Amino acid sequence: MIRAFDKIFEKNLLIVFDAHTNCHEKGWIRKLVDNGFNGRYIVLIGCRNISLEELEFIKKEKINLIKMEIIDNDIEGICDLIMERANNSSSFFICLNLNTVDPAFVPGVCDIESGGFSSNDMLYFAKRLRILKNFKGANFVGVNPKKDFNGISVNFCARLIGEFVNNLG
Amino acid sequence: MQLVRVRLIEDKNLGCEEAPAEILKELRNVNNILLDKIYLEEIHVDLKDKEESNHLIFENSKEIFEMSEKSFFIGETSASIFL
Repeated sequence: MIRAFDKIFEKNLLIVFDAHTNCHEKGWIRKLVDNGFNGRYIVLIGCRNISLEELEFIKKEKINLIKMEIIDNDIEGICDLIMERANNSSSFFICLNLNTVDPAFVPGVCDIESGGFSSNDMLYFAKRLRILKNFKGANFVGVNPKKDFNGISVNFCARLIGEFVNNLG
Repeated sequence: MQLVRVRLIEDKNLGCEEAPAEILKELRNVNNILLDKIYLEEIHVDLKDKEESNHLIFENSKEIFEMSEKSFFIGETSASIFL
């Protein structure tokens, strides 16, 4: 999917919301970069529990990493920075793993990782990023209904998609 | 605007295959989205043939990106992002 996006749009930016960097040997970000996607056009947001090996890869490939602990201090400022970066690219696509959100808010995910966004923080990013004209779409992954409690995670994912799509106007 | 369901699953994440259908069902209760105005589609893949799945997702996604101003994909796991 991302390879297809890279083929269609030039100098596009990939904004990834994920609890994990996926830059370990078998991680999809690593595979993507190893297959020719320029690391400078990737922004990783909300990652935590990062290994030294992953950090080295991120540094080497000049991937932009915004760790969870940084976002906690100034969510509006960080969102401004991401908006500016997105606005300066010809187009951008968002990959969103629901495990970015703290399991207290979204318990039904595949790879659980504590210390994430609140559900409101995630909606805040969605509301702001969707208004940019060069926003080309998003991908939502990671929800596992079998691990969910009372349909909270499925409901939140639908709310989030609603914020990104928002086609009432 | 297109909303695409991608059905692909990694062995370690059993249960996720139900996510797209459940989320689409729940979307009917979300007030700021008009599903009637969205073109819904599914990328059908052969779960037993990874290479063929790769090819199908790549070709279908390319077509979707070319045709639609905005595209939204609901997948199960990160595998479908890269493929």
